[in-house]
Amino acid sequence: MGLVLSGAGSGSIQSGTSGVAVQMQDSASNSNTCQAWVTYKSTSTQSIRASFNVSSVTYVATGTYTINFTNALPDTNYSTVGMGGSSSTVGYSVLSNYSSNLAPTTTAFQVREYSPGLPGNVDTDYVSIAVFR
Amino acid sequence: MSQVIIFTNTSGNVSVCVPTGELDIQTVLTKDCPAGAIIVDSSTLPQGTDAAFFDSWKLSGTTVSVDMPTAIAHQTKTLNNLAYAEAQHRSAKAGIGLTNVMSDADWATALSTARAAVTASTTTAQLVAAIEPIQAAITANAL
Repeated sequence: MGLVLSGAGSGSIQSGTSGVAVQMQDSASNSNTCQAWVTYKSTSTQSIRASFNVSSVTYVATGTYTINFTNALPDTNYSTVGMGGSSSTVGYSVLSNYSSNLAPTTTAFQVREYSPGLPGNVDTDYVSIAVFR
Repeated sequence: MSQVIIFTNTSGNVSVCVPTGELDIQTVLTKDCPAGAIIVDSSTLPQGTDAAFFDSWKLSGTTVSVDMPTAIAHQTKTLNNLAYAEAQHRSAKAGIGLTNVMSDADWATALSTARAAVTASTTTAQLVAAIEPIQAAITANAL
């Protein structure tokens, strides 16, 4: 058993000479991990609660936001998941990671937020998004 | 007060870029925003009911304000969307033998009054107040 550091921000705990028991990865350059996440408020006074590897959130229009990465991702084949909710008229919302204005890039992607039964895009008090690659 | 970056986007409206704090705001300005974007204190952005009309914000110099003709157009669209959904709801209630709280004639009058109030509004507070009776009537007529 031993700790092997293979580079900045990553390493593994190995058993004997064969298997990797636990792998630690905290660098955005590693794959199969959460590459970025952010939680923010999109209504009225926009604010960001917390984030990882997200430099900024740009509020483009109601229910439309651009998430900008601090460190670029290796390619655009990443997966995004997210949800939104509010205690007001918008009970919950769904998120789309594609807008006609901006296809996903290695440095940013655009989110559109909808709520079933309501016309157009919506803003909510709690939006959480995670990116995996 | 926190600082944000604002700029006029390709739609002609105002975009607000909020840094997370992972990078300093000057770096974010260069990295995430187009040329011409400026850093402002967030307290200088429209507040109160003006904040709710984000899609009607316009940037002039370093000042962001609500463009009232655009806000009136947005609120008219909101009112029409509410009216359309309620029309379907009223028809459905009648179809299953339930009586709508407000008669068809009174509903039509309320809509007409709201449309006139929206058009005549000179502030966003008036725009908000203009459709409140319609929102209340819709709530009262829910199943």
